[in-house]
Amino acid sequence: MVETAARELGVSPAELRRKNFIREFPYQTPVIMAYDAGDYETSLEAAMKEADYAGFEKRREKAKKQGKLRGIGMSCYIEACGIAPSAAVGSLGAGVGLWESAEVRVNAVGTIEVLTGSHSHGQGHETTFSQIVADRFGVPIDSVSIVHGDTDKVQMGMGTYGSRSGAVGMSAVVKALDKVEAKAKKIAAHLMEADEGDIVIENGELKVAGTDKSVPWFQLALAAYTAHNLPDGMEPGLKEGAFYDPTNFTFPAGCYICEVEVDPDTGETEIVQFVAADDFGNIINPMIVEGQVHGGIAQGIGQALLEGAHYDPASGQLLTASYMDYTMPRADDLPSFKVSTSNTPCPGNPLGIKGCGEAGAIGSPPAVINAITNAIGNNDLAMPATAQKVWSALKAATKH
Amino acid sequence: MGIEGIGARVARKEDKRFITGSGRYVDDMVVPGMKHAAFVRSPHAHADIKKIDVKAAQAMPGVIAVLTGKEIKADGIGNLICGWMIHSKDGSPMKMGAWSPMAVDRVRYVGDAVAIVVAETKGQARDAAEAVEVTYKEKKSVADAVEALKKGAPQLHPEADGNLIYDWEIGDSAATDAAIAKAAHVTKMHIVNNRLVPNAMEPRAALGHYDKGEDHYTCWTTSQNPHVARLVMSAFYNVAPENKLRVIAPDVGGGFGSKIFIYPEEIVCLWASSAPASRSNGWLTAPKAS
Amino acid sequence: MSQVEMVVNGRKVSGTVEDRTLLVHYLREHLGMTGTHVGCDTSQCGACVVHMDGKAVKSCSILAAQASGSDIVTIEGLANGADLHPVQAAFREHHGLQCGFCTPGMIMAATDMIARHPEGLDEKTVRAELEGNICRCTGYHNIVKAILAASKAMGKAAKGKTKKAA
Repeated sequence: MVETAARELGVSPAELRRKNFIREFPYQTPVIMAYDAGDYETSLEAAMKEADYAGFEKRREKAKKQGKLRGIGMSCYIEACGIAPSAAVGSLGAGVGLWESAEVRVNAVGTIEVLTGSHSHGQGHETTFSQIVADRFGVPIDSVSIVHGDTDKVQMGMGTYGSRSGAVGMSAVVKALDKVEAKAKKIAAHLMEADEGDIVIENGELKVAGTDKSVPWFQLALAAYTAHNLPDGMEPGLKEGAFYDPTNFTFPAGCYICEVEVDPDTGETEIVQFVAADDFGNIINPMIVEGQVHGGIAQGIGQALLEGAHYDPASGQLLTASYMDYTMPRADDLPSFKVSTSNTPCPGNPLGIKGCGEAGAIGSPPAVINAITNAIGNNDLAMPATAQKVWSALKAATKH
Repeated sequence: MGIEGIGARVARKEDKRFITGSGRYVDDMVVPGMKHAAFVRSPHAHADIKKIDVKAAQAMPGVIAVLTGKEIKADGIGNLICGWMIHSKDGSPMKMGAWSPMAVDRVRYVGDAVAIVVAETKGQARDAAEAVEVTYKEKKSVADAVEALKKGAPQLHPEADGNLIYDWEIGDSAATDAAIAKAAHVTKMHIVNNRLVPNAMEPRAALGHYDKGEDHYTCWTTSQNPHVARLVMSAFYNVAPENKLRVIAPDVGGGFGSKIFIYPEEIVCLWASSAPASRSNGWLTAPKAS
Repeated sequence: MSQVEMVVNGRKVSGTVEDRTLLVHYLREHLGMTGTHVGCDTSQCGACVVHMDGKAVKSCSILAAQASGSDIVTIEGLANGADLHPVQAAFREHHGLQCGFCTPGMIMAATDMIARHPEGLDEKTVRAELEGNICRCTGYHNIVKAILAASKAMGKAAKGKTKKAA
């Protein structure tokens, strides 16, 4: 839409976007969402630099000499993730609340189990949720186990979708960790005859700041369970639970730029460059975040170029009922992607996380279609832009 | 941040089992006494079920039970629900059609389940499913949302007149119109979001177990939210109260939103594990929904 | 019914199966080796790739009876005890997997690909030859990276060995 408007107005698509960026936060939209933080210009600039946007015309000329139509397309997206404040989704008709639960169990020898209502099916929670604990207590991630996906083990949870596990699920873990930490510090202060406020946790030890007094994590855990020497009135054990209900959605945003070459004889489109610049707030594990973006982009390119479910209008039969007929993106349909991130931390949750699971699939289809329509000079192109559709749109454009 | 803390590029803990073939997905589960299930599905998009003849199938080798929509309904299993109740602009609640886990008297899409066959082996269950004879009276169908709203389109669900389930909007349409009227330039576009299939690489699968001694059910399912599955199976489908139902989503091979929902096959499998005609204390699995 | 006999991951196995039993079902259901996956029923997804007499095959398109007498290697038999195969190690190091479902087939297809290209691999070749394996999570980016890295590492190791032998 924005790209088309820019073309109609004869202004640079990047400039039109820049002109319309929201710069003051919080920004209340007319459709419930209140954007809390973002810096859209930084993503735009990062993507343009990475894509060498300025050098495009030269590349277009070069492609032309080789008989190819080269096009560039951009998209700036914002999405509502970290679903979601229970009252807000309730007002929209949801049958459930979208909070999340967590329980942190410190065992008697100091190993830790984190029970979460989030569910990992490729997102790598066993690693990233462990990293949060490792960060807090300085224990190795191998001494932390993540328990999920079983109603006999975890009491209740809302699961994983809507890029919610980081922003909502991890926030519940943080709340439970806060409680564990507070109790652990009380025990440590008691054991070392120090003031609770002077206790710091570093490298798997509880220390009295400014002294050489310390208790290793495993000993602290053991003390909590032997209960031979606890502060007066304290319950034994070290296990805490929490429910976290977000106060707002989160708003990942970014800029995607796609460059294509179209073969004018066949309408076949090759993606020659794909750049993604995202702002996901704080990131727990960049390797996993990049992987999430890669997968999302592939699905978005699939939507733009290949995928479509078709029913026979007469019989209602699904014609694309198997991978023989439904075109999944394959390795040779895609390029390698150039992805990067910037960071305006999300003010709404303790870790400053926005979520990254769906961004790639949201930002990429418009970028791909904008690139093709730019190459062929016709804005009228429906998804999936198969070779046949691109060829027809190109013919229609050259007729005028 | 520490070498393993927040912000660190740590290799994944879960990878070891996946790269060595030791992951455990629902279809990998094997339990003593496990039986196998296959569904009989509608070849029509819209038809009345006139008759289901299960005699030939019941007589096939290894067959334990052939169960139909009538039986699941008689057993008090509820219709499928929608997790999100939309209200139309006029304030009326959306008019969702009744969707039984197995069709009772009418099928509404190609693949709508009409019966389940339980047998000793997967092959026997599939063979017997092909021997179930269903007599249909075909009706006119429509598979496109825009076409379905046109006058004269076949009426699909009695609850939703003209096939309109709800008419919803959000925002301030007057303010939007005013802003467009004042705009220096107006760009018009017609955008169709093509219909996609999430296609997680792990197909759907379900394994249901009924423990007669404890009157307790367990369901292994490939789900993004097993807790919500338990809540819904218990509160709406009346399979078992929550304290008598355990739902496990083990390793799950991708979701992409498609595994948020609770599908008919999971409910039917779980129910069939204790259905009177089925062997008690039996295990069932419908390894693939195809 | 058919009598089948084969070597799977170095172990001799035999049994009686229905004639229609596919190799993948023999592995999963008769031998209990569930590392090899079934992701479709049209031989498209490649989650079921195993090695048969040293070549990558889709075990969903071969009858167990056809595989009788052959030497099969599955994902479970790729590592040397606790030592991961270089391709397995590369997939982990380069985050070439997410949900893990396509991974066994990917790794088996990749080891075959690397073996067929002792001269080394480039991105284009890897992408073209991965055409028979579908992944929905990774967008292939890190799978391609992992295969290229493994091919390089294995090429170096092979050269090292030749030098030693010389």
